[in-house]
Amino acid sequence: MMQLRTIIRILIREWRWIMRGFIVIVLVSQLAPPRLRVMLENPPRQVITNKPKVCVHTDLIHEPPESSIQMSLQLIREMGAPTIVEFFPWAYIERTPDVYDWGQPDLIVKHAENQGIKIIARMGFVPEWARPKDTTFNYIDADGLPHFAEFLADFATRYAGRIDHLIIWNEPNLAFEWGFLPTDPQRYVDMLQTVYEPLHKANPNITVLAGALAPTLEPEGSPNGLDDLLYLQRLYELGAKDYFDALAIHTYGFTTPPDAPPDPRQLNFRRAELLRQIMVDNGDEAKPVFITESGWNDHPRWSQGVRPSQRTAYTLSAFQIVENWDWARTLCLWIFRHPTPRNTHRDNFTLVTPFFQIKPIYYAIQAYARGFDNERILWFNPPEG
Amino acid sequence: MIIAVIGVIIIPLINPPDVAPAFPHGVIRIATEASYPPYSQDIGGELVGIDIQIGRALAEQIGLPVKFVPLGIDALYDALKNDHVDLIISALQPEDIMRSEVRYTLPYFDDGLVMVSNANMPIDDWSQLAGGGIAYEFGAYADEIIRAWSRRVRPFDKMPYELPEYALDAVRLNMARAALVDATTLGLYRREYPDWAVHVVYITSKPYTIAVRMDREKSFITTNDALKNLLDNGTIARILNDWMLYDWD
Repeated sequence: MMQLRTIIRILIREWRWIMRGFIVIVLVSQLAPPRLRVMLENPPRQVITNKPKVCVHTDLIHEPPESSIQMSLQLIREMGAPTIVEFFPWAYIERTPDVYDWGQPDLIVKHAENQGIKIIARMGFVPEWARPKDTTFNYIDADGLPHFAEFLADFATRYAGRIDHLIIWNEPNLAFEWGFLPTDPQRYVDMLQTVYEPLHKANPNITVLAGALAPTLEPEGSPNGLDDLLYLQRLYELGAKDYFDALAIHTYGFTTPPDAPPDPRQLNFRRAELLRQIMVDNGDEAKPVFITESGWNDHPRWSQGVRPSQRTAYTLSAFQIVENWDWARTLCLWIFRHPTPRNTHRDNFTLVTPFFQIKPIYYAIQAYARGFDNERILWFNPPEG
Repeated sequence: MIIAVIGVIIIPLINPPDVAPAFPHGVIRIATEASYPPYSQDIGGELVGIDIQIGRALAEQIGLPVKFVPLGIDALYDALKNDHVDLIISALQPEDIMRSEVRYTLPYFDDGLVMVSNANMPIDDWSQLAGGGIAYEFGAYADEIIRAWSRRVRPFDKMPYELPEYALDAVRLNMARAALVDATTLGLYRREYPDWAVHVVYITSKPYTIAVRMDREKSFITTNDALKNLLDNGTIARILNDWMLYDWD
């Protein structure tokens, strides 16, 4: 009690100094840089490009400031890409059952529209309430499927006419991508069957993209996954054909150039042709393909990477190859930018750094999309001595 | 005396010591992405590299057998969180977003960018480059750093090459004042040119550490202590020099 009285006495006696201190704090706080005010561009922008298949996968869902979303999309527009693939994790949007947080998805959709960019939405990532305890975000079982279908239908309804392409799940042929459960094509067919009708009911113009299989040579019975060619054929045998409208393909070049011939025993860029052939063999050639992940990596140590100079040349050649694939609608590069450094080889797939520094490969793609000559000499000859 | 004896018996019963072993499976299970030469790679089914040797040396120091679990980069942290492995040793740089879930040991190597110059004409910072040239690999991280610096300091010549080894050649052959490459590239290059006297300055830092689950405090302390011993007694330096020529700090 005595202490309280003492404190009150001091406060009364020193009120001038307390006020001065308060004023100083207020003034200093005004020195902090203001938050960037984000204005939509008016009139809305359009992507001007000679190469409409140019596309990038983005990571806008993890961008905290709105200004970074806008800046990324402006750069993508200026590069000449009319389409992006963006991940919309269920676990971020419906953290508790039937309570939706559309904040970040709405921002992404609004700014993409403002830049004249179309979105292909990649869907997955299970909230805790929809899966057993101690499972990962990629785990989903039969109990979780109806909830997933309900969420997808809500998503499709909300963004109908603004997002009309949905990729169902990611790389289901890997155990890791299904919460370390054994790889089972039947499980994915069940998922497609569960979500297909509610999606079309929610948005009659929707295109349901299946697949997005990981390029892998994992044999039958492997605990890690299953060869994407075997997996796709298995999907058709299990009747998946009726439950998707287009195939999403992931095709990476790894260490080989883009024109390396397709071979079922090799992972290379033209493996996409083998997947396409499986569609044709199963009477599904009318459906288009969207290459939703692709590219080369230029990490100096990763054995699956190439040098930055090769990455640039290979990427441009890959775009040229896809120009002649009338069955392919997009070639989306993984990945435009990460909001923060990943500190692994994943940083070496990007076109722009987390600090918005533009890599030389971005300018090369921009020149290609504008139809400019790309034959500039970019480096010195090797020193001789 | 009697009180002391009773105390010795009673106190542990009131507050029993944590007897759970640091590695409850009786084996140290280490996740690694076996595609990062010279750190970790699979050669004909056998895992080899700096990280593999460090894992073995750690296990020996701790006194437990070791089992390596090769995984893709995306699966490393999930495997740790789901108790599929005890440690990640995989040329791993700490990630801030993971710090609530894992602990990182002290670093065993810094693979940051180094500015390399000839020892008889040492370059210590960017200002000394004015009017001279710096060699680097086109499109690499060094390219980003140099483009950023070229806007801030007095002009210097930018000399992009197709390969980082060419950038080091340019310095060794006195065609450039300095080169900017990652430390591992320098270490590997110097195996080819052990007599080349160089001056090395770190420009960026990229520490490689070992990750342990946040809730496994004992595993962390045991691993960190063992790694410190290996650094202090020169074992880590010897392992690094099995793969590269590493003689700078």
